[in-house]
Amino acid sequence: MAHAGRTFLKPLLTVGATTVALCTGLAVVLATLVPAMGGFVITWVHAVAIGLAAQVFTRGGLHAIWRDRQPHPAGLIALCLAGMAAAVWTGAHLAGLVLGIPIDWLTRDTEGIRLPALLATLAGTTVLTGIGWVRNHTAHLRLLAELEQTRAAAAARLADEAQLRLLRAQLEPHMLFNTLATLRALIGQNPARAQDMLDRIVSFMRATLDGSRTDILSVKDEFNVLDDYLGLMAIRLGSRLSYRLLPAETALHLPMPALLLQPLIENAVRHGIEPAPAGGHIEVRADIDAAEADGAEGPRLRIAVSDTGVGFEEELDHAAALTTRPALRPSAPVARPTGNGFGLDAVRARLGAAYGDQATLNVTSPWPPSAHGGTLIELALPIRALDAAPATASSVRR
Amino acid sequence: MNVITPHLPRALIAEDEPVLAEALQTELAALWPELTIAEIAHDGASALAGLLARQPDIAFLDIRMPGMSGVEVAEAMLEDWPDGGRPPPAIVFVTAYDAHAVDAFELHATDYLLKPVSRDRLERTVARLRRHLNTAPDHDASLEDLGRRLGPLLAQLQPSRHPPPQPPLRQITAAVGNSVRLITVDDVVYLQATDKYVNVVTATSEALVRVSLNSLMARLDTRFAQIHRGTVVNLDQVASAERDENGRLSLVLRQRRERLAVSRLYTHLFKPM
Repeated sequence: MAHAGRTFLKPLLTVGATTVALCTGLAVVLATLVPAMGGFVITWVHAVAIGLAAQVFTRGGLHAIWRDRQPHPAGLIALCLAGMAAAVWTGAHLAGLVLGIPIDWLTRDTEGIRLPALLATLAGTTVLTGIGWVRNHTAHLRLLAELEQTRAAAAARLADEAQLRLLRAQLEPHMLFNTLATLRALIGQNPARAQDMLDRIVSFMRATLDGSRTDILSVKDEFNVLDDYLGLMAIRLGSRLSYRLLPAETALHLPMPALLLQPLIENAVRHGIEPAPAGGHIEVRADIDAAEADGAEGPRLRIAVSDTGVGFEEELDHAAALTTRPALRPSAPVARPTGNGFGLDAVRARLGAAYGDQATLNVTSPWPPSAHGGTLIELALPIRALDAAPATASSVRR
Repeated sequence: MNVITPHLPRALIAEDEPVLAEALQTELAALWPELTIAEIAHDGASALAGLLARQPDIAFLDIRMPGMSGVEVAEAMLEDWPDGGRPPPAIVFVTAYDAHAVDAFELHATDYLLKPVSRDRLERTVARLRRHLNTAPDHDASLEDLGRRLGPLLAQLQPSRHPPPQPPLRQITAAVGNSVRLITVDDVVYLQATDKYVNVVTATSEALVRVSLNSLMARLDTRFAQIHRGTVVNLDQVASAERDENGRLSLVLRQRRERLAVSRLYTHLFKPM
């Protein structure tokens, strides 16, 4: 409580002190230029009284009318004028009361005081309002910059995490030793296939390491990484895993967050295909959707990851406990349980950091709806926002 | 019981990755020419069916397989192994990696192999298996021995079998048509796992709930004991345990006519004091 009181008191004291200082300056000028004012003391008391009253009226009005919203400029000017008029009247009466002198200059301007007094008040209010506006505006700009910086930092951090997760996936002992066991077996059985497998391992590992130096990959490069991974898994699982990668020609050059799809594919293999004795088929598509149904947000990059594996219909109870971000508009509040603690949630977090609420991720299981298992994950990424995101991030850093 | 018939050893390989299954078969052929591979299974369920149908001398069981893990296959095999006849196979578990399991294997498995399997290591396993088969294992003793070994392995390798205990349930809620029935836990006589459901049996009724037996078990108090991989019984409802001519144990219940079979893994619960 004491702390809250202090934070409330401090800006109030600052405003008061600024006002008194400014009014003192005005009083010196006014008392020198207009002798009819009746000397410095009388002028100073008037100036301070009017100045403080002006602050009370304008700031009070600002708070009462707009609260924390951004005020309309015309409304702000009207408020200042009204506040000033009220301040001159109230301030003059207050000063008269303090000094014990009549305030007849307000009604009968015999000595020509009224005009300079009004001009001085106008000048003082303008300067004070100006200072306030400039300060507010710079604070607002700084806040915006900080916000943007935080967002960029979050996106970078999540990209790092994705990177780390991928490295961990490579080094996940089961994946590592099973892959090495297969390689060892193939060296004896089929040296050509062993070489092919080793090439894929090298290519996948290199892509993972390169991924740490860039946050954005083209759809083409992203699909190449998927191909390496799925190729390795297909050698291991044999006829139990088949897959097809179908990126549209037009989508190949588009940028996307690096290694965004990797966890989805890993999930499809680990939780969809591996537990199914008969195995299954994985398909990944990417194309451009020009006409977005629910808003004029421009063309979108649409990615669909589907598998005919186990599906997570049976895991509904578990998934209900998982949180889903409303901003990402999931069509069904289900999520495949992730053995490694990452997976869908991590992908959602990355989408949120890279695109705000502009990207969507939908999960449908079973897929197709008439089937017993199978899963479809659909992503829609705004193409324009993706191009803009790195630019704003770098301008903030500069 | 020891009928010594000159007989060529047979083995079953359960491994879901075809390349690895083939490699193990090839290397065994080189190291142990007289060993026949009776079957190669690529998932847990077919491994179990193959073991029971062919009754091999040796089983190489991969730990991670679709459907059932290797340890679960061993458990089910032990419970369903026919009385009389051949002793159960010597089990060699095969795994790529199980951080805490190696100690358990060391203590409780006949043998275990870590993938990739080096030739030296496989040679030692073959030698050990030959010695084991030469001692001509006895049917009952082998089953008992396997039962003793499997308990700790299951606890170690199937954490899902032993979920952390939760506050005990007072009622079990079961959907019956459009309504939900509340079954007081005290009234439950036993629980029986079916394909995707658990059948909750009281003195007068039965109801299906859609959870796994293990997750339900974790929420029951100490009156409830597992007596088979698919059965949990309320011990307060058990009148007696009786042995048939084959030595199989079954429970007579106070309020139900049917008897419940106790698997070899859990007979120790019903030894006289």
